[in-house]
Amino acid sequence: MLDIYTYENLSSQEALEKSLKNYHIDKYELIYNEYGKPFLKDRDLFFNISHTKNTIVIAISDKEVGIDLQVKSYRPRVIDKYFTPSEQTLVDNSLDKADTFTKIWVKKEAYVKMIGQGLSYGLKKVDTPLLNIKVSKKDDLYLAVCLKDS
Amino acid sequence: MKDKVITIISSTTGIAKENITENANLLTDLELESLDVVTLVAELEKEVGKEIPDKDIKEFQTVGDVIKYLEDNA
Repeated sequence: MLDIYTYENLSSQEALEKSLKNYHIDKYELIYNEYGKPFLKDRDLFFNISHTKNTIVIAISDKEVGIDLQVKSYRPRVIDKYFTPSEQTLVDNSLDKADTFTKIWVKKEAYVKMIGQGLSYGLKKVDTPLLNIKVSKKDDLYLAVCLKDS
Repeated sequence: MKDKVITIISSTTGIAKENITENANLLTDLELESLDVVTLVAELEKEVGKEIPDKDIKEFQTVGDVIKYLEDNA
């Protein structure tokens, strides 16, 4: 099960509260792992949040989940430091480098957020061509969702 | 180090230098996203000539944390 909710101009807390009402959850408690990833205490539901500009997205699933939303970007120095050789080749060979860069970036982010360690996990350890993560686009916004065992 | 860090944050994010204080939280006050944070780290590495391991990024909560980290690890 995977549901994704999109909101405009809401705080993370407001968006989470609104989303959880769809599962008849009005009261909940958050607990955090050592990397700061929040979980619902004593619930069999997982969630993850991402936001960019005034848009916020929430993924809710019965499996551990990571989500990332990003405006189309291009950061060459990030490629040098954080992209694997196969990812660097994909960007080098792309006619739209910002498109390829952003797709790879949201996959990496969604994966490390699913793992629950965020940037601490090590972005260069994540070789996105080997992962089954789809990216959806709307205008200049890119969205990736990663479920456990992707 | 303080001026150097604030200059790099400003040039990386487009935020005016006068709005970047040592107490400012990178995520909640300056509204940096993860991509901005890693871009900042990559730029800082170039500036100070020293690698910043991924595991250390979580220590960067405020601008002051970044300055202290670089001073301690220079």
